[in-house]
Amino acid sequence: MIRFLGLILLCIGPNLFGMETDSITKPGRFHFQSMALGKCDACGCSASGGSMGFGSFLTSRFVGVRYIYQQYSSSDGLYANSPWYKESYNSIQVWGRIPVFKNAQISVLAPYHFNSRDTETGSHSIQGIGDITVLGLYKVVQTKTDTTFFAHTVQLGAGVKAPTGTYDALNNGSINPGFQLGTGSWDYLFLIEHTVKRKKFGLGSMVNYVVKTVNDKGYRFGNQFNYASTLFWLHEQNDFSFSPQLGLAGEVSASNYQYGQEVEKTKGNILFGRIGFETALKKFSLGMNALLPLSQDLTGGRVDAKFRLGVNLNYSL
Amino acid sequence: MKNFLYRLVVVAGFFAAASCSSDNDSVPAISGNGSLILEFDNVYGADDLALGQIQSANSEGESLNISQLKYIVSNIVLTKSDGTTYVYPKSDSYFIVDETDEETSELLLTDVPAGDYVSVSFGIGIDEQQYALGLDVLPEFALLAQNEGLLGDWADGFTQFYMSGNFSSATIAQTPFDVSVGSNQSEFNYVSVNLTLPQQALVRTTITPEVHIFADASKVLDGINALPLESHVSGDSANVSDETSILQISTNIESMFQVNHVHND
Repeated sequence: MIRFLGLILLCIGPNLFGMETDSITKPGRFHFQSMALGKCDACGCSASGGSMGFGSFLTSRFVGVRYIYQQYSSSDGLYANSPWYKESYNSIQVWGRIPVFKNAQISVLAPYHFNSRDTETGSHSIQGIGDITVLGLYKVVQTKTDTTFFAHTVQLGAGVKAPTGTYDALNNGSINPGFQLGTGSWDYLFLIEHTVKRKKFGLGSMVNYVVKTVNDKGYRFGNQFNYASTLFWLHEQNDFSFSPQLGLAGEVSASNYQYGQEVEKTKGNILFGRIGFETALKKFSLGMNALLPLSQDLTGGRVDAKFRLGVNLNYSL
Repeated sequence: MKNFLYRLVVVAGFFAAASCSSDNDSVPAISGNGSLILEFDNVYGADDLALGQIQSANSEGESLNISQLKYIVSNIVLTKSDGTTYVYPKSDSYFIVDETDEETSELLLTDVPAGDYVSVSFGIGIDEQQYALGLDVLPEFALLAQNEGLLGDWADGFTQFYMSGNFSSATIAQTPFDVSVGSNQSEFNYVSVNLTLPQQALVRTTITPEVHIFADASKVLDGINALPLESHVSGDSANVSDETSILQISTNIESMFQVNHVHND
């Protein structure tokens, strides 16, 4: 595992990013959104799920819809007396984890965003398809419950986030640089998930890293590291199951770059406390969770995350 | 376990291949001309300057309530990363920034050669050489300056920096003040300002950089030199106009400007 992480980190040095993308990116269409990973690009953002993860502890194979609401307060950060405005990010996502062959799954996340931001002159909103993420996941470790004290599962994943959402350079100015439907770039995701269970208790953890590339407006959002760890308790009875969950989730973003120059006050980090539950009846499951920031330092203090709410309805495959 | 490690190496190798490749900042090539905006944003200390609002007390214990702030910007010169300079055409290089008119805060420079600019210099006022040429060579600017109340009769000189309002302190109730830095044939107070850009301004045919300059009005009377208005009160107002004070204020003006950031949009 350490070797694996080392290789990834080595490769993702500050100046090394993905493939040549100019010929692939459609002019005027970009978007950024992360699915499994960070929700917040530079923390604001074209967020889709970020550290909210993209899995379920109840069902490992599913298709469903997820709704995420995020609220932020942001300012231009220029003056001590700059006004603060409310920003709301709504995202409806079709998501799923579809088995393809033994131990392998494809995870897809296709978001639709409707975001709004109050301004001095009224509310400004953007809406549309976000960046679609596709991940391949492979289960590398699964211990049998009956032979070990702890049952471990480890999955590795890698994928891409396509610039299907719109990136508008005009939104880059002094407002939240993450107020976008997408990053406008092809981005690459790497994911490790680990679950350990002991009787009715379990601990699910994941880390993911998003390598972001330059979009055709010369802007590159900072690479993002997301992590989460959730303690859950699972009660199962016939067709019914219920699982309360409590955990931590965090995101760390590097600075954004514009035409190769670092954009000041764009890096950040945030740690959330997370509480929620999942419940399932037969093939259907419902999950709800809330994230409240425990500590944060986003975009040079220009963005203040308030909370996030997530609701999902899944159909088990 | 061996098998597991082998798998890891294969997967990691795949990731490495997918994610390691050359960076591409997609900076357009340098050719042709573009534009550049110098934004003069008047602030007061850390706050955005709000006219007609009482500011917190300065080091002299005086609280200013500024109602007017205007100045002449001239002789703009841009320096590229290779050290070469571009002198903006002198005759087009006269502007007046007036806090009461937001439109005057953005100075649009056009036909600027594409390049990566690292610093900007400008003057506050009109230089002596230009002044000697008389009114006729800058008719549009002269009219603008007259409308702004910065120029009466050319021969009497002009005002290059003006700030007025009220002030108060523990010992003085609300009292009008004005600070007027001018020049005439016998006394020249032209101020040269040179500012380094924190990010390069990438002028291209497709990129119009905006250089966001903070002009800190709190430094006019409380900068390198501290000038208590109280000592200038005469009758029912304070008028700062003696030569020593104007020299001190000119020094303060020279250091009141700073580039906060550059947008390359």
